[in-house]
Amino acid sequence: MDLATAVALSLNASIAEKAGFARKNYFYPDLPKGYQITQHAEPLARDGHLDVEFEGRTLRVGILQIHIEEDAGKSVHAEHQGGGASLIDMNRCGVPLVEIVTRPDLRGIDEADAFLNELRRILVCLGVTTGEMHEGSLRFDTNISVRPKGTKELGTQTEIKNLNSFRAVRRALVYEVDRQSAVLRDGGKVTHETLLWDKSRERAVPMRSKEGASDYRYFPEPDLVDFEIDARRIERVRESLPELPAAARRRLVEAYAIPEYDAFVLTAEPSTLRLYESTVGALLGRLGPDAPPTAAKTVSNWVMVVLAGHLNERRLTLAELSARVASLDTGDRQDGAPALPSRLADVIALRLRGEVSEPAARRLFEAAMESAEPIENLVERLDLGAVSDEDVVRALVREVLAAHPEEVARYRAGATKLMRFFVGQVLGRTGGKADPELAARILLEELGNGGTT
Amino acid sequence: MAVERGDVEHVAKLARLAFTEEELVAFTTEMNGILALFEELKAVDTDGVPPAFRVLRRRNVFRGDEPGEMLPPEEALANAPDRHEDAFRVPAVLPND
Amino acid sequence: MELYELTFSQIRAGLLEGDFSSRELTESVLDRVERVEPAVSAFVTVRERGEILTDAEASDARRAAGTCPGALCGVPVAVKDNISTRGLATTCGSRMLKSYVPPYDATAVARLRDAGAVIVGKTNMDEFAMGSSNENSALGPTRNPWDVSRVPGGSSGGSAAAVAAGEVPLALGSDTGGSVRQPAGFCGVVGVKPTYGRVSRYGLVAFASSLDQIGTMSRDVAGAAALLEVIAGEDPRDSTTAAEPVPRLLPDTGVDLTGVAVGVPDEYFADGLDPFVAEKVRDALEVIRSLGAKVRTISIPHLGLGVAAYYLVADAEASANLARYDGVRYGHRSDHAETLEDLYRMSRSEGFGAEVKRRIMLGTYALSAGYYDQYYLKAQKVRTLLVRDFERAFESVDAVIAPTSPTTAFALGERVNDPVSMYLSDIYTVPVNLAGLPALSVPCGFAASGLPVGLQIMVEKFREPVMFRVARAYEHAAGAFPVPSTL
Ligand SMILES: [Mg+2]
Ligand SMILES: [Zn+2]
Repeated sequence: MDLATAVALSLNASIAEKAGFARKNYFYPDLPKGYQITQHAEPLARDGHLDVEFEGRTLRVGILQIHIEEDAGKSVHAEHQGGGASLIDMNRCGVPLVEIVTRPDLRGIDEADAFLNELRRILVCLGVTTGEMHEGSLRFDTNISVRPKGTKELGTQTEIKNLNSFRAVRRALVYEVDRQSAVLRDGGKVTHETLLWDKSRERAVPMRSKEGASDYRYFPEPDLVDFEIDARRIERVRESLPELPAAARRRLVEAYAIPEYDAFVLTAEPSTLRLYESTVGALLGRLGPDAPPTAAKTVSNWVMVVLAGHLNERRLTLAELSARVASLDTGDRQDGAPALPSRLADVIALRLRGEVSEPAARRLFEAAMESAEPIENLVERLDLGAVSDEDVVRALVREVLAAHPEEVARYRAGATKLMRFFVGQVLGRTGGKADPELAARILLEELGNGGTT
Repeated sequence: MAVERGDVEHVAKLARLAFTEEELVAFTTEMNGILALFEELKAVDTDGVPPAFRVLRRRNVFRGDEPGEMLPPEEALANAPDRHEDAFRVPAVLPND
Repeated sequence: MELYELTFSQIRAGLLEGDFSSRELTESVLDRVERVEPAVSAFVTVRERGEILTDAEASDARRAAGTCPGALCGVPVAVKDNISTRGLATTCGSRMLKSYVPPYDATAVARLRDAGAVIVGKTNMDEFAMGSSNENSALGPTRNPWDVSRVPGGSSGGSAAAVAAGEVPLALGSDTGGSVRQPAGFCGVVGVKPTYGRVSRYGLVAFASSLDQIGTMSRDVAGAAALLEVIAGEDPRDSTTAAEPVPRLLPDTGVDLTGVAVGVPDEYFADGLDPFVAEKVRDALEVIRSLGAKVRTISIPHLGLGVAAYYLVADAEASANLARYDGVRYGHRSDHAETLEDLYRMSRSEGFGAEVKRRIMLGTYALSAGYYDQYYLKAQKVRTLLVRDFERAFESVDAVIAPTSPTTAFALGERVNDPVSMYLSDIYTVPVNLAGLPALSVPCGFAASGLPVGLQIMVEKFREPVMFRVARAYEHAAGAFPVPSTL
């Protein structure tokens, strides 16, 4: 009830004073009692809206109602049983869920996609769902209707259920828009029906056994008592609401001067946002007054690129990585940040101080995820300290130029793209520890003065 | 208002009950007899009378949002007329064309 | 006198005094079961003798060790076959659940086991508790121990007959529209329907959720009270159970009724009441007056609408509650179904008996599009009128007393093909269920036919102690009912 109230408040809906449950009667094998306990006449909340940023404008999507009901089981079509049987998994039955019903305000597949993504971000942020669609923790039913260009009246709608990924939603919408358009083009009529999305065959199949059973015979659920939602309860929930993604995005752009796109990515999951903010905090603590104005953007790049890549490669979730790094932690850090952001700040600080090169910093990061060794020890043990002595680099540059006279000649003839080749050669001779910028500057100088000295 | 055979068929369909021809005919008559018993309610003035769906005046019974005891799958499936692994097996839910 | 003939009060005293052991008592009871079951058929399942005696011996050991958990320790109890018993078949008198074995105990049963009661077996009933004669059992009818050509009443007819015949001193039943009180009246035992919410419905196979309550039966008032004390109380598994603490149900006060105001509603003595029943009830009221109670006439104006309102509400709820019997997870599955729809229709049509189908049809109809307001909603509003009738009555009296049923036990086959007359026989018992009140039926003598008559005592919600006080005072004056000597 509290979680549903949090959803209602976050979607600007009015919460009812009384919430009653009813039985919705129909036969379906995944519904073990032959009825579903749901809110019918007395939903928890009505009349809300969600503002979604879409292609540079604000799209306001109306929320008709928000109600609580029990989940049903899962039916699996058993191909290997010769197609003649279905298997029913009852494990999910009776688990409470929140259903959010929108008004018909979405025009087109991209709008629907933007809305559903924003809704998902909010629900995950509220802790109402993990948002893992493949686990069934978040599911969408879509209603689709098409109309000829230039007309206003919405056509007959169909509903598609069983969509368990964003991809499935898109595919199903494309399929159904095409199907309905074809029906109308051929002079036919779209019939109001409920369809199930068959993901393997990429098509929507009518739910045959529900036909003719649309008389749900709702009546108040006698096994449950009445619920009154008093103002105190609502206030308690309101006070515990987290910062919602849209507000977090605005704040990040303002507080850290990062691009909107970065803010969007960093607020997608509450855990990512927490990681980002504590890493920035830890980093600024380490750098003190020397922190460059772009330090927060640098962290953003690290989180979105380096850390995301690391997780992806290793098929880890952020929570799993955080736990792993925390388990290695020796606890002698001073900054009070959790282990992962603290470790990440260590690496970025060294990089921003120029003590390691960019490639070295990335190798250092990988190592820091696997060990609790103090970061300076790691730099030393792995020999990742930057080669920043100008004389050393200049000597290496001269070696490289001497070893590649042909390339030098081509460069001087105008093939300036070869600069990248030379930089690569210099870096290669230091095992990636030389600062590429420094190498490039010296290369320019050496190539400019004839290269014969 | 008398119930007709078609009504009985419709209700039987909703209730997932099958009746033979003779049963349908007999049941239509019988149902009308019972419904006549209910006719007396119509004459009662219930304007402004709220329905008494729940006679126990208890409100807001909540429990903690915590998982409770569960039946082991073997016990939960012990009465199944047909099962496959941890699932109940039924004729196909979806048309298999 | 044989041990099986003892009332609960005598058993309790005898066990305490060490006059006999639970094992001796249980053996006597089981011998009685063997002897009379062929004539009475009160049980659907009797547990294996060895297992029962092991339980009895365990309670004797606890008694010897001084660790007896209470008054029910070592007392044989029967359980109606719609109350779930872990590992013990629970058929609900239906072909649908013929081979169903629950994987869990109803809360009432779990509390019985914790109290050390010795569970003997499961008693016969009208299919899914739908009936007033026990003739709707798929396993065959139970017979009235006072006259085996007569019905024991229903739907807890098996429990009532078992207690009346001395097969067991105590039994659980369930009362949705009179299913404990009416058979108790027909069989000459004490039957109690507690306040709605007093006893957890967890594990009671649902018939009509807003009306169902598990009730108790005993040959004496003390037994019905002791059994209720054990099973009553809030249960987190049933959110409609009351938070009210369970008081001592049988007050220590003496057997006079000074200060108790009793109301006798005119409407319960109108047409249709058997004059022999009326006479016995009026005699009992005289006894109650002589014990010091003030007796006066009151009115329950909407009594006559109770049956119609009851059957609409009960059948509507039943139509939903019985939808779970679909052949998918447990219960009967048709061998002949090829499609899912066939599986539903055929399993249900083969598994349910005629009365159950009739009720499901009526309930489905009363809820269906276009009829909800006219039937179901209207019935719920009339229910409010009955609630108010009783509220008004209890402004001036402590207890309302009336006959339990308009007649004594009728003959087997007499009404089974006439549903309307069968339904009308519940006229005196259904109002209490609609209003959620507690009520008790206590035997008040025999009609000229030689059949027992029941006196019904109704009180305000959660005032069961008043009901037991009146019943015990009357019982004390009238004497406890015997076990029929003809069996
Ligand atoms: Mg829904
Ligand atoms: Zn398989």
